Amino acid sequence: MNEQNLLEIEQKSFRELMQDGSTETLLGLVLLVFPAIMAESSFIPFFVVFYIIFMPHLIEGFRKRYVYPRIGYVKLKEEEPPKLSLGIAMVVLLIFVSVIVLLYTLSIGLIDRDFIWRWLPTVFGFIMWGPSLYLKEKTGQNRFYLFGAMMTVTGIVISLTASIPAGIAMTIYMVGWGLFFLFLGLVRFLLFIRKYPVLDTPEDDIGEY
Amino acid sequence: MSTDDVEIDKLIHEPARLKIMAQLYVVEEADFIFLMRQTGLTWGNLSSHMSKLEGAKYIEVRKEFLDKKPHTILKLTPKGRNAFRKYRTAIDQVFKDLPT
Repeated sequence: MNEQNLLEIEQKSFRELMQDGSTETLLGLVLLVFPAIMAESSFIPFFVVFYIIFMPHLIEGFRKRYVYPRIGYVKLKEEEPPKLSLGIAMVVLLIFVSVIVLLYTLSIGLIDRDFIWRWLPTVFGFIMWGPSLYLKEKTGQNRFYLFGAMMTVTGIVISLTASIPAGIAMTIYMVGWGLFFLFLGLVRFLLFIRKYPVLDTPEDDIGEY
Repeated sequence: MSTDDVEIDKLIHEPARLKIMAQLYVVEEADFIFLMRQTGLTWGNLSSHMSKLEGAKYIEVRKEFLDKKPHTILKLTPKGRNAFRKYRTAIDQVFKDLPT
C-alpha cells in the first residue's frame, strides 16, 4: 500500500462523487450568471450570498436525495490552504504587475475598453486552466486537460473574430459554455440515475421507531 | 533494523481490513454503502470487520438517520490513522530489507 496506491484510491473516490453531473451543472450555472453580473454590478452581492451561503446546502440536499442512496456517502478530505511558496508569491506578483500595466496602458490611451472586452474571453480561457489542472490532479483523468484547452481555444477564436462586437464577445463565450456545461451536467445526471439504482441495505429494515 | 524486528499490525494486515483502512485513510469519512462498493465486501463481512476495527478504536462509527432510514458512517480515529501510517512504514521496511 504505497503512495501511488493511496493516490489512486483517493482519485477514485473523487471520481465517484463527480459522476452525478453536479460539478458540470454548477459550472454551467455560474457561467450563465456571469454576463448578468457584468451587465449589472448590483447583482454581485446576491450572487455572492447565494453561491457562498445557499449553494453548499443545496448541493448537499441534492446529494442526500439522489446520490448517497445510490453510490453511498463520502466526505472528501478538506483542502489544506496552500503554503506561501516562491511559486505562489511569483503568481501574485505577476497578477499585480499585469493589473498595473493594464491600468497604465488604459490611462495613456494605448488600449481602450473595447480592447479589454474583446480579449476577456481569451483571458478567461487561460484562467480556466486552473480548474482544469485541479480536476486532472484530483481525478487522475487526462481528459480534463481538454476542457482547459477547449475553453482557451474558443476564447482566442471569439477574441479574434472581428465580426463579433467587442461588447458581446464575452457574453457569447460565457452563455455558449454555460449552456454546454449545463447540458452536459444534466445528461451525466440522467445517466447516473439510470446506471445506479437506489440500493436496498439490511439497515433499511430497521425503522426509526 | 532487520525484518525480524519489524512489527506488523495483524489487525490491519488482514486484506479486507486493509482495504477499509486504506479507503478511510484517504477520505474524511464514508458510509457503509460507499465502503461496500469500493472494497467489494458484502454487508455482513464489512460489518464484522468494522466491529473489529471499532473494538481497537481504529475507527469511529456514527449512526444517524437519513430520510428516516438508519445510516452508518465510519471515520478513521487519530489512533487508527497513526496505526495505518506505522503499518505502511513497517511494510516498506520489510520490502526494503529483502535481498535484491
